[in-house]
Amino acid sequence: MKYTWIVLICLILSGCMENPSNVRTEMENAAYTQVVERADDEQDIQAAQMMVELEQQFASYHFKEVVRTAREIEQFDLTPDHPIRKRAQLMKHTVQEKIKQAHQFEGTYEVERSTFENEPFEGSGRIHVSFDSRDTFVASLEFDHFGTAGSYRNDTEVIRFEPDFSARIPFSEGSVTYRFVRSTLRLTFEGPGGKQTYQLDEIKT
Amino acid sequence: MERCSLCGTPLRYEDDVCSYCQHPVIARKRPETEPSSSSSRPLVLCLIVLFILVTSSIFWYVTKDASSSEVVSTPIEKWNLSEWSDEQLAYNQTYSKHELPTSYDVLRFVRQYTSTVPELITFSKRDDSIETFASIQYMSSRVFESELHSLATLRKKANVTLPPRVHTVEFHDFSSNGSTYDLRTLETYQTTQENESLFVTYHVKYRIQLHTDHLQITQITRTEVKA
Repeated sequence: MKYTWIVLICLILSGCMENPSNVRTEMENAAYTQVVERADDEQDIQAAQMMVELEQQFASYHFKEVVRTAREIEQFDLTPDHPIRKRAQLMKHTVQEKIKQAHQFEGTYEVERSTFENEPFEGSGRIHVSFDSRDTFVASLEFDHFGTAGSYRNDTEVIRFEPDFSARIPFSEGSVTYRFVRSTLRLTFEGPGGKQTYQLDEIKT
Repeated sequence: MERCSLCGTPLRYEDDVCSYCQHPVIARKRPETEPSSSSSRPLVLCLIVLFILVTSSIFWYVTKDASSSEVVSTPIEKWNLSEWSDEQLAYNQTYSKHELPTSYDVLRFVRQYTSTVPELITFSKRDDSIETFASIQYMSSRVFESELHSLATLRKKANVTLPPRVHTVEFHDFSSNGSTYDLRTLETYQTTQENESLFVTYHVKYRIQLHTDHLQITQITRTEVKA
């Protein structure tokens, strides 16, 4: 009888303690597809499934969807220090900053300086920039009398930027690099003929 | 032990008379405390258990409150660009049974592979060696061969002097079974012909495995999405 009670107390106490299971470790290691596969607890499965969806959206650069899904995860009954809640918040804050940056880079830019092999030349024109509402890093660049006299460019180019808001686009025997820095946009054409750079400043409205 | 009140001979429990002097055992001093203590023991233990439960509940509640107030005061953290962008090459990452890839590592691995696809359309069996193409870092040579066949449409539409580029990559249906990962993507590649942009889209099914210590694509099924 005495031993039964001791065993009972031990069982109750072990129930009170947090069990560092494999599922918990996988959650902490951000292996959410494994959690979905192995977890028994319905809430763990649901939270991990949402994290998989969140990461798919994040990897696709669908940042508005990331914010929406992260908010849904925050509504789950998870402790404030739960690894899933923390990771979802981290992703939400990260993409919110990128969405803000993309908005800041939208606008009209005008050629301020143009150089060929560090020598200035007469370049002019404007570029109107707008970012896609779904794919955060996909932007439309509308060229407006851009270039040099006699060869102005008046078309629209759709470009996917990298997360640092730069893009390198190949063209025949060369490449052109686009880079946003603060309120400027720099285009660098590199080819067998040499290196041509346009620096455009954002026109404040 | 009880003794005979007359001669002092030790008495056994069941004796009614003294074995030596035959003096009857009149009033046996039975331990009165014993039965009562055995009956009260479960009650005491219950009280102890109750006390432990109440104390641990109070402790849990207090520490929970403390941790939540800590989180509120923590400054907003953001993910380092190098940890989620394609700055670091995913095929170089090594893993083990104790340090498996995160689910995002797998997605990033596939996204980086897609950036090597445009170069694949320039591959010539006669002039090129597989090892010089970045794609082979992500997959087995058998899958490399299958990709060369699957990208026929993109090869046809692309300008010979102007390679295509990745436009968008969407991830879907990501799941895993131990060390094997399955996912689907919707990939759009952009190519230019006579100053006009053309887009080629594929539904792609990937199977990725942890091969020794790194990720490797072991199967790709690529289907063109007709406009």
